[in-house]
Amino acid sequence: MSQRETSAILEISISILFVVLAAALFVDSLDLPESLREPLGSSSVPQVVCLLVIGFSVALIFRSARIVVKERARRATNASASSPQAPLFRKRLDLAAKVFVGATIYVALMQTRLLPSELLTPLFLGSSIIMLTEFRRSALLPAIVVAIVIGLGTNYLFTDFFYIDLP
Amino acid sequence: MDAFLSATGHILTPMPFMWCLLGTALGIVVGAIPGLSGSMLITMTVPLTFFMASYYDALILLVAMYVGSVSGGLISATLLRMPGTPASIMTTLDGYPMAQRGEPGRALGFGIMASFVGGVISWIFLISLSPTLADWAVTFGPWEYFTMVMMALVLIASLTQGSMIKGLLSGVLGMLASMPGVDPSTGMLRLTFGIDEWANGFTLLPVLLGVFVVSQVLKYIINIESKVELIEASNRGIFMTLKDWKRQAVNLVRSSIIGTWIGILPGIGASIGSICAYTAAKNMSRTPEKFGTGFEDGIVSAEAANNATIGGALVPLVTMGIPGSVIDAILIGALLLHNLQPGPLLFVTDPEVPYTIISTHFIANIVMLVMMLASVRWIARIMTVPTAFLMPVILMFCIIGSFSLQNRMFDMWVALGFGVFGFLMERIRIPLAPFVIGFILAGLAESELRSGLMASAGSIEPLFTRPIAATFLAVSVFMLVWSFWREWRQGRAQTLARGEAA
Repeated sequence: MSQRETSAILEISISILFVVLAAALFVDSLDLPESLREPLGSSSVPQVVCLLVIGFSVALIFRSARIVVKERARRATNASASSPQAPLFRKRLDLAAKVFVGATIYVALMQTRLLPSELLTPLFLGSSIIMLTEFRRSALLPAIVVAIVIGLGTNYLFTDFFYIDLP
Repeated sequence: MDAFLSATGHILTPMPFMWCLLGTALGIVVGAIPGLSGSMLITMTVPLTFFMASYYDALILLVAMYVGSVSGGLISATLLRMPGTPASIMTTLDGYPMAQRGEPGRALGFGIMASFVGGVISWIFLISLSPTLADWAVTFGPWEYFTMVMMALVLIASLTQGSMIKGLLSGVLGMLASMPGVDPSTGMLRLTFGIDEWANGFTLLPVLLGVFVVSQVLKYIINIESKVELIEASNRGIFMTLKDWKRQAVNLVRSSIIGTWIGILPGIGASIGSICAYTAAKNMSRTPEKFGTGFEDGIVSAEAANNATIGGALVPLVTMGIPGSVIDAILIGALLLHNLQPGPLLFVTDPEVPYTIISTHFIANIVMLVMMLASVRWIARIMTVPTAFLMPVILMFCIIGSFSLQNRMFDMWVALGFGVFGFLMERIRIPLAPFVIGFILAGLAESELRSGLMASAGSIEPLFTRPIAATFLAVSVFMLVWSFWREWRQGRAQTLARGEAA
């Protein structure tokens, strides 16, 4: 599959998500009462915006679908076409996903208040840096130092300097 | 005049001047680091300014960061061939080749001086136009504001890189994201699905932190294995000679004026300004073939314009409360956070606020010049901070920063959620800038439209009969039609080219 085709399929998927989101908001806005005092009321503008989102997303879906069809037709007729150029470096979607999951766990644990943020913040920082350096031994000590200094330092900054109660 | 002198005098006192120094320095450093941008820095700093003693100091810090960050992008553009900020994209074309052939100091010197001159010229426009425009803007009614917001959205959708449909989709998605919560006109809850936390809607800062910062963090982690070659910075040749000044005089003034006027157009920022100025310089040059080979005219035009857009973009911000660029949209968030209502009446109710912004812009330009000339070699070393260490720290600041404003866990989830949303948008090349402009201005557009309709008993006739509103509407329609036509032509040309190649 060519990169163009992959991008087009991704565009279709994400545009469908936008359509579903806008449709859900549109349906929710139907319950809003009409206004007696002004011409538009609370629902009109959100409904128009939802319809615009749906309209633009559908246009994007059609455009991307045409690209997919064209690319598949080209692949079928041009089987000996040169393979796409290999990227210069590896894309690390896995690392991004791991760090994001780590951030989600960090926020979820703060919400439960099982552990204080003074402990959670350095843990999050340290684990994220270690994951991103792929457990290299040379990076372990700097990761721990940075996690403790910046983690505890940030907590101090917010609680004792800005007087914000962190979870 | 009194308010201007008072604001300038205040900035030159020790504490405010320290904020100006700090803001400019942080802006330069962050602007120089690829992966970080001024919008990220300012978005992360805004929640912290809530706890500052004076909102004047907060504005001084943020505007100084704005000036510093646009200027700082020059360093990585020249030494790494990676623009530190989107505004420095054009600088890479000539800055890096000049540095590669052994003249990094000269390349940096041209860029720094051009940035300073661009900033000063745009400041002259800012100080001279703002009071007059503010007086004029006071006469605006709801129809003028509504059509101006629509024009800003269309302009940014049409002039941002990429597809027009994607730009418009981004804008309306931003508008949609701002709608859940309390209806500003009736006080009724809407689009909350019965979720209590949504009663106050999505707060601006967590959304900005998510869309601008969290999404970028994810993007840079994905590209963590990309390798960059750093050219050693040097101070040799950093000062322009008299001959250089004479040669570049016309280019400097022209590029600064282009940048200023591009900046004044609502919603458009420094990157478009530098592209337009670079293109103009190339088209008017006797040696256009030299552009892209390390030609000083290219560096000067790009850097003068991108710094000039700052002053230009501040004009609609201080006079009408309309953001001239995405960073100005964040500054609007900062003003609202400090209970200041952006708009023309600010010149009447609290004139020291707009004049603080105006004076800081000028003083920060001087500070930027001195700092960059003196310390560019040391700043260049900071650029190589490993992504693995930097990104988790930034993510942590986003999460805690989102919480700090209202002490709500919900805001942390909003930041993470919009981070994923922004990331998905960028994956399919939907620009983020129209989303932010749409999010910030949707409330204003809706309330002005509804006020206008109430005043005109439901008739939209004033849209066409009021001259200013009709002009804004005409510009919007023209830009919409022209942009779709231009895209259709480009698509057709590409299809023909592919057909010929096959």
